[in-house]
Amino acid sequence: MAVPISSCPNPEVSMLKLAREALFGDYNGSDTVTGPISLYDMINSGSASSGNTYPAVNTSSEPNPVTRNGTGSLELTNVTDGMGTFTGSLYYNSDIGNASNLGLGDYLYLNEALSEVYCGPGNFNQPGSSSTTTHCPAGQNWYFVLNIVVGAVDYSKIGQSDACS
Amino acid sequence: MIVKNKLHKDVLAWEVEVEDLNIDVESLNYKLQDGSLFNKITTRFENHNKELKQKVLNALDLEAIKIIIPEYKEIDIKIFKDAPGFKLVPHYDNRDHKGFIMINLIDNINSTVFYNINEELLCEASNKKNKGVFHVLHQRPHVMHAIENTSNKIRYTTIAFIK
Repeated sequence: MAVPISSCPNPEVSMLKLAREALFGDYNGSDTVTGPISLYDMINSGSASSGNTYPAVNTSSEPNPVTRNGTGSLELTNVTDGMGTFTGSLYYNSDIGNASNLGLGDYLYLNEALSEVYCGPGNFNQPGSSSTTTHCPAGQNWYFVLNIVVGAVDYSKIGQSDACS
Repeated sequence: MIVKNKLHKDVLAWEVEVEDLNIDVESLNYKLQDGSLFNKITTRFENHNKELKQKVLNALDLEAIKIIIPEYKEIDIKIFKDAPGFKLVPHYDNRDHKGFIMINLIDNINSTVFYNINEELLCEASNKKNKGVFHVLHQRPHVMHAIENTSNKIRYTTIAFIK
């Protein structure tokens, strides 16, 4: 998960919970954290002053963030949802490279800044082409499903990716 | 239900005709579709009368459906009212849909149109009352379908989603 922006009705930021998020990706979990907890180690990684070793990147949290790698975003063009209510482009981290590299677990967004999530039934098709902005070659079709998670940080990632057909 | 001629050599779609369903579509209550199938569409409304849905189901030829789609498990009947401006762009339908039967409940202006993967028009279904189309989905060659109510009249249809 991520660190909640607020926790109505009683906003709370807890060092112990921050440590659980950093170590286990579960802010509200009950995993064991060994003291002491160093905010310096949580931010900079390591175990100089802590009972646990904190990772440089909280990879068990999603999307940690999606813009962490890569220098920008790339466009996945001519995407249509299953029932014909959306047609347009989706965007993904440029670190992935050509759209043919997209697969399970990759994040897709509605905008180039990779911040706006498609909200709705997440069944999509993309007809192939010779362009690097399509997953499949010309004459074939890509069917994929986006799992959309709305929470402290909204994200949508590919939960099903069928072979080009 | 009578399954009639195939609409196009490259499209798994046949014209169908049913006995008059005798549904007074204008007197029914409709609610805006709930978004579970048609995200953010505000021009499609749905009637949820179970007896009417059963009436539609009774008019279908389940044996013919079984022959054409032997693996089908479920038929989900919807009764739609599409306002002017209603539009679904060319699409394939969700993968859990194996086919559909669309039947016009009145003489409509527009009907389902079929395109190839390059979005070139292939054929169009009947827009006449008690007629429609039986389309098998997700087969090769890839075929998309679309609908747009380009008129100023309300469009009334019933669709059997075969899953």
